[in-house]
Formats: sequence, C-alpha cells, structure tokens
Amino acid sequence: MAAGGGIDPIHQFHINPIVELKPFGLNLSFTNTSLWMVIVIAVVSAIMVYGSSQRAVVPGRLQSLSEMIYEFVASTLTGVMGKEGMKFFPFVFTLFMFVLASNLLGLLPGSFTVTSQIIVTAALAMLVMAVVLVYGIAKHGSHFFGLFVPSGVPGWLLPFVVLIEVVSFISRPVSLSLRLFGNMLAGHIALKVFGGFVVVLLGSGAVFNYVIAPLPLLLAVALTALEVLVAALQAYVFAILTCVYLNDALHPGH
Amino acid sequence: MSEPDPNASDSELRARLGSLKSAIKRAEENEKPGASPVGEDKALAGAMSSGFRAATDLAGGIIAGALIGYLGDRWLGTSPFLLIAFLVIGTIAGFRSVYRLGSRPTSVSKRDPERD
Repeated sequence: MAAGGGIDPIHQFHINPIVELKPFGLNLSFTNTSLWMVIVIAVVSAIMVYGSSQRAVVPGRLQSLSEMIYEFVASTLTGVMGKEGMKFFPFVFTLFMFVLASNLLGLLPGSFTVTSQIIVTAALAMLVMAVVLVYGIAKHGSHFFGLFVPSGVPGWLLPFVVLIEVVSFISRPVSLSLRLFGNMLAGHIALKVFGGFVVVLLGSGAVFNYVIAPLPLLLAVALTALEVLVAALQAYVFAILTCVYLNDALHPGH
Repeated sequence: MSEPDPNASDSELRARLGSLKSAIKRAEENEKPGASPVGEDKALAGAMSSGFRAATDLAGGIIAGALIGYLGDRWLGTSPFLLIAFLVIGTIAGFRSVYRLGSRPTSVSKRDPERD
C-alpha cells in the first residue's frame, strides 16, 4: 500500500501464542484464538444462564433476548426437520450461538475474530458432517448410503451419478467452512483497508486529500453496518445448513 | 363475602370471556402489520442464505474435487489424470447442487413423481 507502511490489513489475523505449551513436540500453546474462544463461550454462557435464571412472567431484557434466540433457532430447526428434529436442538443451538457470538464479538475494535480462521470453521463443519455420518449410519445402517443413489437413474449412468453424489457430499463441509471463513475474512480486510485509506489520506499532507478523506470513512461506517448484518446472517446460514444436512441423516431415502 | 347465584356468575363470566376474546382478536389484527416486518426479515435472510449457498456450493464442489484428485494422485502416483478427472466431476457436482438448490422450493410436488 502506498505510503502506509504501518497498516497491514492481514495483520489482524495473526495467531500469537499467549502461553507457550509444547508437550511431546505438539504445539498446544494457548493463543489469542483460544483466548477469544474462551471469551465467546463465557459471554454466551453468561447471557443464557443469567437470561434463563430469572423465569419472570414478564421477561427482562436478557431473558427476552435468550427466549427470542431460543424460539428463533427452534422454529428454524422444526421448519427444516419437523418435530423429531428437536433432538438435535442442543447441537444446532450451540453451533449457532458460538458462530453468532464470535462473529459479533469479532467486530469490536481490537478484538480477534475466531471464525476468520479457516481451521476453526473447518473443524465446525467436520463436526457437523461427523454427526451426520455417525447418526445416519447408527440409525439407518446401510440404508443411509441410499443418500448417494438417487432413484430413477438409468443403470449405465448409475456409477457416474453415485460418484458425483459422493463428491457432492464431500464438498459440503468444504463449502460450509469456506462460506463462513470467506465472509468474515473479506469483511474484516475491507474494513481495515478503508480505515487505512483515511489514515493515508490524512497523512499525505496535500489539501485535496484532506477534502476527500471523509469519503472512505463514510464507507467504513456503512461497511460496519453491513458487517453486523453479515455476522448475524452467516450464523443463521450455518445453522440452517446444519439443519439441512442433519435432515439427510434423519430421512436419507428421498 | 357471600357467593352470588352460580348461574348468574357463570353467564357473567361467559360474557367477560367473550369480550376478552374479541379484544384479543382485535389486538392480533392490529399486530399483523407489526408482525409482517419480522416475516420480511426472515424472507430476506432466507433469500440471502440461498444466495450465499449457491455461490459457495459451486466453489466447494470444485475445491473438493481438486482436493480428492490431488490427494489421489499423490497416493497412486498417477500424476495429472486423477486431478483432471475429479476436477471435472467436482465441477459437475457443484453445478448439480446449485441446480438442486434452485429447483427445490418451486417444484416440490412435481419432483416426487419424477424421482420415483
């Protein structure tokens, strides 16, 4: 970047160990990612525990917040999977709250966005796929693999279609993790770049640059609003896709 | 406190219940325009979620195919062939999942006889 020097839009994603911990050659250091995961879980737990501890008939702010989130996730879940999908409610709710809280907390200045690390989102997506596979095979046995064999396909085309279905199934965790990671990464880089423009323009010394310096600032404000929307939306997308994939484990044969 | 005639209080209660029901109905009808923005928000979220889904399903199919092909090549030593083959298959899989995403909401009733 021209003349910026100190402004590096990628720097915010660096992982720095806070407590070095390397037993048996494994790198198990407590990093800033781990710290922010702990913070996210602490915040979510505090909101939900405090919100559900009051049990007032007329709910206060936190209680109505947690009730709204509960009902939102529950209606999303039953909308996709029906009533019997409620047995997955704790799983989907945990994922939704973790992703939502880490997206929103990552928007605070100076914080660290856990979901902008692809290894975190990939681990979440792998967890979803592992639950789908384990539950589907445990409940339906070999019938679960009927998911890969669509009916009404002529015999000579069947091996090809099954191959495509298998690749399509493998691509699910890839796209699930890429979507969240990509949105978070791109949004934070864009915010940092536009913030950097303001600094560069103000530091350049030319009068014309002082005049146009507010423009990227306005855009950064607008982008922040967009990022709040994207943060909530990506958590919703992650939750609803988890429901769609879990629905395949519940009802594989269609 | 002496109890009044039970029948009289019954009809009185029924009248109160009826007036309450009509009041609730009126309140619900008043709230309907207030409730529709929530529905619109959810429709917007649904539309944007399927948009994001279509974009990344395509990319995900291609990347997954390339990954399978690359790892298979490294495992079997068949240098470029598995990569090329699975890249094509992954692209088809990506397009197929986008196609399925597009065809799902409109033709739910039409799809079932076609598939059986």
